[in-house]
Order: sequence, then structure tokens, then C-alpha cells
Amino acid sequence: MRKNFVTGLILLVPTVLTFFILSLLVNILTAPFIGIVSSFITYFVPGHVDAIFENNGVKIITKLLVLLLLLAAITITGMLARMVFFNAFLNVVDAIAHAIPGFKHIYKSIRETVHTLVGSQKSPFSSVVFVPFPHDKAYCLGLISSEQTDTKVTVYIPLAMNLTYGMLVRYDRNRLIHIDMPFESAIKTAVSCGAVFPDFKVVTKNPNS
Amino acid sequence: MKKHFLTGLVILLPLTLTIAVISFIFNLVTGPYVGIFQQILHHFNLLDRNIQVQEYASQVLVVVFLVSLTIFFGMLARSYFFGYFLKLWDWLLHKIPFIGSIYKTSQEAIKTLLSSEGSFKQVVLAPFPDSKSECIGFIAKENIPPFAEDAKETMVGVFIPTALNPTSGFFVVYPESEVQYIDMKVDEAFKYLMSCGALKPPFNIISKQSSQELES
Repeated sequence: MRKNFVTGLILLVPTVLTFFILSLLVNILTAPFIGIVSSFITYFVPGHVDAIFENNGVKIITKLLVLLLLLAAITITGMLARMVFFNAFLNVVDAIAHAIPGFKHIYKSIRETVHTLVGSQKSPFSSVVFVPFPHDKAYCLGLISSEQTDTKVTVYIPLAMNLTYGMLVRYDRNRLIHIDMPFESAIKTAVSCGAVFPDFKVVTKNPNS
Repeated sequence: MKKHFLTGLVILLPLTLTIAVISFIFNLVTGPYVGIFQQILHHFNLLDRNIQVQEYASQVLVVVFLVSLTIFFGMLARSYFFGYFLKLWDWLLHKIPFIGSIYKTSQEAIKTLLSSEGSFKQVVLAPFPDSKSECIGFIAKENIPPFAEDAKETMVGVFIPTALNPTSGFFVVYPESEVQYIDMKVDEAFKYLMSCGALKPPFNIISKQSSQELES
């Protein structure tokens, strides 16, 4: 009985968890636009919106629709951005955004972060290291970005389970232990508190590189 | 007066908190399915007179259903045909780019968590945040190869949760000799952490060998 229950858990929980995480993501992405879509539906089908939106099927379909529209909008904006006249238009938008007090600081820092995170083709955190944290005989997984020329290297040490918290620590280059773990595996290790911990090899790096 | 109030609190608070925690977990697990079951009950005009009772009944039904479904799946998993179907399902999900990696991670995590010699079964004292103080930690992975090639000592991965809220913490890798194994049980360690040290269970330092004997 107990054995069967555990086996069943091993089989079912990953699927349930995957759907749960996915629906969470979809909800976050679509939430700001659901209102627009529902008012759109009111426009065409007056008086029945509540009844329509009580239906789970309709809810799921609208969410998928919003998701598709978002993808399309992002792609089309990207396509347009390659055209000259649209670029000029974007510059105007930028200029306006930069001119509004209060708005401009937020806009600027978000813009710069997004540019470095998404703009370059490769992942911003290109290598995974072990760093002596919190002391010399203990090691934590850290993520470093590729291009750093300072004498000290800035390392992001994510907290376990909850990656949105972490410490930003600056280390001397020779104290880093580079390993051949891909970025994704490091994230998995951190999220699972080390339950998923793939094998790795220490990479000896040229100290000048 | 004050004394009576306090005595009352001491008696009633644990009970209330326990009920609150259990009903929270209960609601969390049953939440996504209650609607369906309530509709079914409603369809057959069962317990229609009191909506609240109907809701509770459907919650209980959901729990019974989920537990039996899990046991049923565990039984099925032994049959050859179903194993084949599972492989297909796994293969299918692994193929989908973004979803596949979420699925794979949760699969691996659940497997290590629930397998008998898995992670988070052994409580340790690990030197944190400096070498002269120690924190409660859980062994996540043993026998990690040492960083330096000439070193013989293997490393252990330890999860050090934050107090009060153990859902975050640090994952730290130590040389094996730095970590002290103790005979505290996992639930006792959680009690210690979640009470911020108010409940300190007694413990002894044990060797790694004896910790394995205890498990077997």
C-alpha cells in the first residue's frame, strides 16, 4: 500500500507540478490583458460576459489567445524595429520617456537591464563557479557574467529554492573555482536545494582570460 | 484574570493553529478540483440544501480520490504495458522545449526526495557563516568529488535553511570532515528551525558510519 502510494507520487507529482508552474506563468503573463479581452467580448456579446467567463473552457481559450497575441506583438515589433523609419519613431518614444521626471529613472534602468539580459545573443550568466561562501572551507554555487575585466569579479550567489534572492559578492579572480556545469543545471541545483545535483568537473582556467 | 487568559491561550492556541495549518494544506491540495466534485454532487442533488456542507463533502471526496488515484497509479506502474505508456509520456514531455526542462527537474527532485536513501534524511551541523559557528543543515548529496585533483577527501552538499521560514536557504558544499553528523531527526530539526530555537531538541554528535547504521 505504502509502496504503491510512493510510486504513484513519483509518477504523478512531476506532471502536476509542471502544469501548476505553467499555469502560474500563463496567469502572470495574461492577467493584465484579460480585462481588455473581456470588455471586447462585452462589446460583441452584451450582457453575458459573466456567464461566459464562468466557463473554464472560455477562460483557458482567452488566456491562450492573449499569449499568442503577445508573442505576435513582440515579434512584429521586433520586425518593425529593423526598418529605418520605425527606428526613428522609437527614438522619439525614448526621448519622450527620458524627459518625464520620475518615469525616466525607472525606464532607463529597466531598459539597460533588459538590453544586457536579453539583447546579447548568449546568456548573461555564462559560467558557473564555486566560490568560498560564506567562509574559506565552504563553497556555494555562483553565477558570473562573461565579460568582466576588473581585478575583482562580481558573482551572484542565488539562495536555494528561491532564486530571486541572493548575494552579490566580489571575489578575487584566483579564488573562483570554475566548473563545467551548464547554467541550466546550476539553476536546477539551486531550486531543488541540491536534490538534483549533476556531476561536474573542475575546469582549470587561464588566470588571464 | 490575566493568568486565566494565558492558561486559556496555552490550551487553545495549539489546537487552533493545528487546525489552521491542516485546513490550509487541505485547501491547497483540494483547491483545483473542488469545483468539479461539487458540480458532480450538485448534478445528483446530493447535499443540495447546504452549500457549505456540500463543499466540505466534495473536499473530502477529492482527498479520497487523489489518494486512491495515486495508489492506483503506483500499482499500475508495475504492469509492463503501463510502463511502456509512461515511457512514451516521459519522452513526449521531454521533447517540448521549455516544459520539458521543468518536468525533468521536478521529476529528478521528487525521485531523490522520496527514494529511501535520498536527500534530506540526515541532519548535520555545518560551519556557517564562519568556521567557528555552526548551523543546522540537511545532507542533500554525499560523495561529491573534491575540487582539487590531488585531494582525497570527498565533499558533501548541505542545504542550510533559513529559520522560521525554511523554504529558502543556502546550498553549501563542504569537505566531509567539516560537517558534523548529529542524531537529530528531520522533524525535530524543523521544529528547532521553525521555532527560531525556542524548542531545542537534545542531540549527540555521531559518526557518519553510525548514521548509516541508523538508517538501515
